[in-house]
Amino acid sequence: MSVLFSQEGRAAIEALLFVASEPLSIPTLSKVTHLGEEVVQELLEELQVIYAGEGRGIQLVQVAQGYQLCTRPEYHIYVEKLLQPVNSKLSRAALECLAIIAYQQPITRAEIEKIRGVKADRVLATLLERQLIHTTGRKETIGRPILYSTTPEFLRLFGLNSLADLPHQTNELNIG
Amino acid sequence: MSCYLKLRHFEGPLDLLVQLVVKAETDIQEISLSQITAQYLAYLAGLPELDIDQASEFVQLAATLLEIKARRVLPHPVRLREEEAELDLEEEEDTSSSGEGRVTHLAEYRKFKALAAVLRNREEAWGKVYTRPAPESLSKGHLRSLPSGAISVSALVEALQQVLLGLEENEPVLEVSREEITLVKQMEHIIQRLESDLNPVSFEALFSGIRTRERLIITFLALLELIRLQRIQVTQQETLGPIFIELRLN
Repeated sequence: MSVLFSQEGRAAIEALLFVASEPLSIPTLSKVTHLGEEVVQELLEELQVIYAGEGRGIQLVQVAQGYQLCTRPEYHIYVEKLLQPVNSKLSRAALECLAIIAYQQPITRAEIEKIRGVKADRVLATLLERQLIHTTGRKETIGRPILYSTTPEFLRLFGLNSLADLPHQTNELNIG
Repeated sequence: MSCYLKLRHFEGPLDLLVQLVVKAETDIQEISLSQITAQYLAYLAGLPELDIDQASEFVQLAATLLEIKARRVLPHPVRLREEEAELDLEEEEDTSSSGEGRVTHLAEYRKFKALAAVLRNREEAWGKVYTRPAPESLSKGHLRSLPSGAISVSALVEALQQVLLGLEENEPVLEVSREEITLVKQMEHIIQRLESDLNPVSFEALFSGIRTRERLIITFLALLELIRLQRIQVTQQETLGPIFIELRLN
């Protein structure tokens, strides 16, 4: 079954984005709608334009290699008032460790500890538990230590489309 | 938040000093580590409570300074290099010779610290954007049907028999019938009562023996209805005195 008209295709994609709780990739949307990937891309861009219009509370963002409908940050107070989400910000140590993994992945625990100068066991456990990192094999060296990399959940948490979107590593960053 | 140092050749926060030493903009030889430690301890003593994060950061920074200084002072760093190579088994390239290795580590750590701050900003900004939680009814496997042939018809029949067997074993159900009272029945009942009694019946006598609220109400309604239809006559000789009911003779 194929969707013939572009407006129908766009509506179908909108419906899929609405029910999905995670970012949908172009290949996935293409597979479900039987539309070509280029067409899907075009329709997504059309939808983005529609949602970018004035007076909308939701937006269509490109995140973690996919597209996802989400609320606009301007209206966060209302969302929080209604749903009262539990805020669980990452600790400073966890964030530093995550930054190291993000920029140096795949990386072993020993390598992380070498940069930070302190033990990373607990922080790694926290990051693993929150599914921000996962193990991606072992380094072919003495002891074959486990290698860690970031997950799509990491990209989602920081609203990144891919690792290439990470802020650039520059030495001009204000250090203080 | 950082400890502010006042030394002979340097004045400012500790991490800035380390930064300068690392960049070789300040000569480590001119820095007194004992002075730094003394001032840091004084700073810690002035804090309302011990911040482990800060304290350990100091230890790390101070150790770095100490190491750099030691390497600068020692004439032959060759022995140190060997020791370090033994300790760092996982180190593949031998880049950590002399103080440079530590210096690059620290520089790298500062870089990641800064990147962590950038990530924190992003986390905060993105924390204001919400997505839909997974709808339970649509999650994968929620209404997944069983594979065909997983349950045989005989198993189904057996299950039904078990249920029926269980039913029979149950205690017999006792039925509690509801008392059926209608307004018309109660009117007839009152008439009969008045007919059987030659003397007028008192209001109290008419209601005595009534146990349920429903019957009480129906009886009273029946009484009112009979009055309306002028079938009975109600009399009261004095205020608050007994009320008597009798048939109206037409």
